[in-house]
Amino acid sequence: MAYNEQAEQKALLAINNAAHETALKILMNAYGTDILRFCDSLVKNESDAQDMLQNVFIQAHKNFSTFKGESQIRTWLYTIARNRCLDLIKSRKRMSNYLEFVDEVPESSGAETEETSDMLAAKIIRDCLDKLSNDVKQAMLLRFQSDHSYEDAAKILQQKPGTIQARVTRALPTLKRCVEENGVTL
Amino acid sequence: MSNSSNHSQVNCNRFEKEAINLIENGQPLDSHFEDCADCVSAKQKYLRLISLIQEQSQLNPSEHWQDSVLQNIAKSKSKKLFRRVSEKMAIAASVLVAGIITFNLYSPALQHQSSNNTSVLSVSIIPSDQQYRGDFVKPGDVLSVSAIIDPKTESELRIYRNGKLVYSCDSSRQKECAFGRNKVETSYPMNAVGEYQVMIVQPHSANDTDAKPGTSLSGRLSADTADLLKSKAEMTLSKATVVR
Repeated sequence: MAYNEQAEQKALLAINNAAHETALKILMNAYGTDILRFCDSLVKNESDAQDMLQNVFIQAHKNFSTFKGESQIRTWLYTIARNRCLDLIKSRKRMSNYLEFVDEVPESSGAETEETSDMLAAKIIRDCLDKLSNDVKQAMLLRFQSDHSYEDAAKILQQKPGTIQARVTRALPTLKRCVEENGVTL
Repeated sequence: MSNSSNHSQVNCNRFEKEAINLIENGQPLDSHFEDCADCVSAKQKYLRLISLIQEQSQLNPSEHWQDSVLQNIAKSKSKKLFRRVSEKMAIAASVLVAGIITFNLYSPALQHQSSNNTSVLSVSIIPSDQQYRGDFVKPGDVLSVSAIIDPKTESELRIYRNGKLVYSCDSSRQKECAFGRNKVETSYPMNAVGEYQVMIVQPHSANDTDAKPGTSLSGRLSADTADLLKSKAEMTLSKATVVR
């Protein structure tokens, strides 16, 4: 689900009337799944993504009184989501630097599940997205996964819309080549 | 899924070089992109690529996740409320303690009492008649005194009127007031108008045998109080009872 104008208007009205819980419920219904998938693409761990989803809305509720309405609520929520996910990634890096000296963690364990071609394609595109720089990957996700305009994506990424657009149009052929080279027929 | 090498030889690459930019800028494509087979094919591939990006996560929120968020918020709200109330109570308690300390600092008699006091003094008025009395104690009313004292020390009960000693008794004069093991009681008729105050005096400690209460006191309340403070004897003074 992309931008939901009706939900935005109802939530904004509720925020202005200090009915923060009502606003929260509207926004959780409208954008919960989208934000979860965005977080999942960034943190690449289902359990962490579910935690991030809850944290995003808890933080949003805490900060409703500071929301000035200068952007769409969706854009604001994605900004919170991105920041929370990047914080988690950073803390993971710090932890993995520490763990390197403590223990070797096996990459996978247990029984392998049988992968369908869709699952394999999804895995390949994820791997190819990971090969892009962080900024470009986030721009691609915001533009194509959650259907943000370049203006909104620029607000979330705190960059100029032109810069984001140039990066995305340059990265598309690279991504296409990557998935094709890994066996996905487009 | 198959290797795409058969499709990689695109003769016309205008879609990749021009059309992506035009589409992302929201500009219309010219007729070439509808007529050129390579460009039509390239467009299909890009649309498929974009749909793969959209679909690469199919994760759905866990059941009851919204309830968890709301519960978490309710918890933090009650924590915040508790913290606020605790802070206010802590401030109130600090102010109260500061007030008590300040009061004791500027009230030497009470300071002395609070640090050493082992006696509890209770004073009540027994009216002499049942007529309408108003708010005042009248001549003839009886001052009923009861005090808990330290049984290890020799105590004295003193009553002052207008700052002058009018009555005293200690454990050696049991006829005038009833000394129990750790209690003393007496009744004193306040026949004259004036301001009455009761004082219980005890030496500083049980070992302080030289300091017999009241032996060297002048009988004037202000001087006696000062002398008792100097000698570090324990002193409990009642509120003034005014007879009119």
